[in-house]
Amino acid sequence: MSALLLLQVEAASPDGVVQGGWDYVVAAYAISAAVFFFYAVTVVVRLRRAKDVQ
Amino acid sequence: MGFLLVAVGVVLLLSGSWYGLFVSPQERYMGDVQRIMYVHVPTAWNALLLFTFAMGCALMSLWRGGWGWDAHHEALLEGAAVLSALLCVQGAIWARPTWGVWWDWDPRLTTTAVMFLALLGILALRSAVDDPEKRATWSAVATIIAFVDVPIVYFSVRWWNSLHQMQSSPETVSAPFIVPLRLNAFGVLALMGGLALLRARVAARRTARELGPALEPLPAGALVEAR
Repeated sequence: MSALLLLQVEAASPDGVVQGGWDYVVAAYAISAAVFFFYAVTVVVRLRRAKDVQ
Repeated sequence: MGFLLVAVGVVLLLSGSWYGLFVSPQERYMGDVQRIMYVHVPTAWNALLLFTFAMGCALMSLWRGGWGWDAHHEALLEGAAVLSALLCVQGAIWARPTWGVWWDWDPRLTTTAVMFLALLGILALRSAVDDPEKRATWSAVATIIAFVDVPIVYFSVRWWNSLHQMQSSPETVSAPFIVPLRLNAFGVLALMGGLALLRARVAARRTARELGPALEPLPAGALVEAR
């Protein structure tokens, strides 16, 4: 528990500014891009299947 | 039109994300982590917007009838659900380095989770009902009831004490942050709007198959109520 708190304290400098954090930024953008891409693929695949059935 | 909007959305999103990641300056207190805002806030705005459009389609479906409204209703519900899920994940990733936790039962987060679950519930209802007429009516009513949560999500940060910051606007955000925010906001809108148009075609074709016999050629001069 104390190690966890220490890790959290280390993330901020003494003046309260969050240090680093690019890994979180990259994760947020990568997940967003993946969700948009895969959702678009599912829509296009379903549209093609619907056209084939017709 | 759908594919064109998707293409416009991709270009806007790539431009906005490049600007947000590499051109826009660091925020004074959150540093680089604040760059998550350029995908998180546009996702939030568009999740609420798509749900609002879905509610409009639900109202029109009940009031005017017509399968087009129902097809767009389904497409917009699905888009809003995708954005709500993504919103929760992005929020958790931003919360960890700034709040120290992945999740908190804070009013904004809780009402957003409720919105996501409500959207999933309505989509589950639609997939469980085989009769197109009942499916359209029941899901439209469910959407109108669930839409009550949208203003609660939006105003929750003002109505209750919240860990979450107030809504961002050009008045509350420094000028260099506005360009990527707007590019990505219109990018998500164009992308999800285009995908909703394409997804509505899928729903319309399924409904046409389900109503097959009713769509057979009618005798010349026949007048048939739309729905």
